[in-house]
Amino acid sequence: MSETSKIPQKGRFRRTQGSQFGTGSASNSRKQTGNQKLNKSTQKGDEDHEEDDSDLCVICAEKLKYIALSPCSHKTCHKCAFRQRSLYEKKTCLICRTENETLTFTERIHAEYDDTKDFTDHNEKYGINFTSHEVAKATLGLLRYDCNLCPATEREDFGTFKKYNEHLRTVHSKNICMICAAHKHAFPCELKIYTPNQLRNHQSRGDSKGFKGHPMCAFCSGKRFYSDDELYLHMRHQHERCHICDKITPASPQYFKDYDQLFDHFKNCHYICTVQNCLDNKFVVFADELELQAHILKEHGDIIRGKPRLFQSELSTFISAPSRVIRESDSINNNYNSSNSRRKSPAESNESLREKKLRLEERAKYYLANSQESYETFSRLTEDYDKGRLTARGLLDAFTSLFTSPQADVYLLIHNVAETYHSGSARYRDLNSIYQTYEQQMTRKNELPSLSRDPSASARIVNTVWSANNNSVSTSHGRNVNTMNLPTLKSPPASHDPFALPSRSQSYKSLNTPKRNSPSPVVRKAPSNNSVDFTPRYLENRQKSASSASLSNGNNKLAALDLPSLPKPKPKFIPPPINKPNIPDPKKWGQNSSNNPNQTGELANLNLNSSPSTASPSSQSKKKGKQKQLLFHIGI
Amino acid sequence: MSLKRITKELNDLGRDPPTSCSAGPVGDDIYHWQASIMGPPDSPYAGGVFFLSIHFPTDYPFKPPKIAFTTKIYHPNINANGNICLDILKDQWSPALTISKVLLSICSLLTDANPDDPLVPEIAHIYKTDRAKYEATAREWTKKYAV
Repeated sequence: MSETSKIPQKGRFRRTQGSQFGTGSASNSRKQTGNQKLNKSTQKGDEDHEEDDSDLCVICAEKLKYIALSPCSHKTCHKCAFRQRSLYEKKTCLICRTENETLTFTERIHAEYDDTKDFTDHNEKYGINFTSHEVAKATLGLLRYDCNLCPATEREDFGTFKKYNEHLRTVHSKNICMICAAHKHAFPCELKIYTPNQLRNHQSRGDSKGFKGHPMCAFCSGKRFYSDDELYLHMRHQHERCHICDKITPASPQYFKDYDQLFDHFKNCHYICTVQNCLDNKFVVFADELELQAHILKEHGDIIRGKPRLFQSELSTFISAPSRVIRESDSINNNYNSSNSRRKSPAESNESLREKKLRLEERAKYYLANSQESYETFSRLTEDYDKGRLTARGLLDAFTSLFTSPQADVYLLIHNVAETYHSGSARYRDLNSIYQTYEQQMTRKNELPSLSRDPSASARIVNTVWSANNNSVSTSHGRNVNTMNLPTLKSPPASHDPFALPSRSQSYKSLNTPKRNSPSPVVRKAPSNNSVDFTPRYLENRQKSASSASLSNGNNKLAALDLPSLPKPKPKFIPPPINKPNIPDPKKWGQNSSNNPNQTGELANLNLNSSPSTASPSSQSKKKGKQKQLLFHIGI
Repeated sequence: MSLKRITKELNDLGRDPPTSCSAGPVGDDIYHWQASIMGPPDSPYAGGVFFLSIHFPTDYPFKPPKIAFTTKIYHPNINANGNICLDILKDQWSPALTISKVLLSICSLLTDANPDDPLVPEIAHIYKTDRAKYEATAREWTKKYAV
């Protein structure tokens, strides 16, 4: 029987199987080269496993005593296979999911399915052939409801968990957990027997590792469920969940006992449509007033027109007392915010620092292909830097020689090291400046391609144009300026360019911020593609500047030649966003400084546009402030 | 039943760590692990280090582990809570699968998203209609949250 022919036709799963073999062979080779330190720590475990791996069931990792063989040539222990067939009532192979009508259970743990034909017993119900009475007895005996507390001679099979539990209670004053009995898919003999106190403890708090008790429904008093999954199903079927809150904070669903309670919540926290028809239909509720009004206009327009007085009186609960509504909705928002921040702020700094350290370690391990020796060198280096024995530059050099694998990016490592320090510290600043310089270079290199739709193709083309132009400086001014200007035109990475912001924030808003109708203060339309947007603007500028010939050209040229070598601007120089609200998001991440060079470039451009006196007075006055700042910078 | 199997997986991971991911218990609760995945080099997640949380049910391995991203990631099959839409974590689970294999599957999900069975329809739509935009956003998120 070839194994592959039996593997079910599931793409995803086959891929996993493939990778299984991949890692298998890779791991073997690595095992030979060996890495002593790591082995030492797990040596004891290793010894057990090296010897016994073939004797362990791949499913439960218990030592094999009797085995189950499948036509698809897979081997598990008799318990796992029988559990699947009897308790889970599935005939699929535990390993490859092939449907097998019959299995062979045998005590010869190295036997193969095809060679095993000498059966002594057969079980029709579960489709099992046994090679000895002993195996058959051991297997089918798992299903017996025997009382282990009674003497062996007096044991009887009770047939069901209920009768078994009844016996335990009346004769021994003990119990099994009936929730486990119903859901655990355990054989009767596997269930623990509890005293009433132990049972309470088991159900409320849990009595074994990884088990925290059977969760209870907060509305149905005393009703417990096997696990969170079952509780979740119950909540979904028996109770109500606020779909508006779900949208706002998907991570913490709000449940209510029944529709009446949910309705109260709707009334208090959201915008409910008070038209009788909608009240009867239920769930006609909106996250904000605007949506509600849109609904009213759309659905109940006739009511407004037909019976103005009646309806107005209903609507007036909203309109005449807007303060109440707004205050309430505000307080909700505040609650969300404050609860969020309360939850995060104390833990966050510790948590994120831990995660940053972990990220650094994981990255280093990955780049070093899990080599323990090199990893220790790496730890020493970071420690040296921490103690001040190594400068930031030195650390970079040491990293560069240590991390030689092609996928290693030492600058990301430097960045991760920097992140483990407080952002005000000198150690952070030193490392971060290295990273930022590198980032700038990368963005310069990369910003041209993003002008076009197809990044990979255009990158090469545009880059060659760029270098060609660099070489032949003596081409006509116009064209030279032209290409030199391009990068600065495009570059503004969003957050500081008031024009690019809308398209970006839009994509975020739809994903993670609750819907709120904040009017966009930016007048200009925001097309999704920057390149489409910037090209015409640039052309426009060029035409304008061409009209005021020599002066602007001279300026242009100067600025253009200066641009690539602009000094790294101070992080302080961040023009305050003029009328865009600061979005309180983790977006601030590292952008301030990395964007600054582009920022200057952008400003330089603005300056160029406005410097010719032909510019309209209004635009001139707008840009005056920026202009001053820029002159100051070039002066440096 | 589950404890032995989880311990074995942990030992195996220690002996043969997979190249692009790692996993281990958080604290002393062996039923709660943290894992990390390196963004595959041939994907917009390259350069990122993504963290995941793993919870083993007591019925493991007969029931699948619960795995979710704790690092934000822009992907059609992974939602804002980090939940992953992957068949082998649900109905296609097999008790023979291990955490190591599941993490590799998640890696391959990062390389090849499955927009026809999306968890976040908006991202799936962009993935299908404007791949360049999807990749740019995914890269941006990677840089922001996973570098």
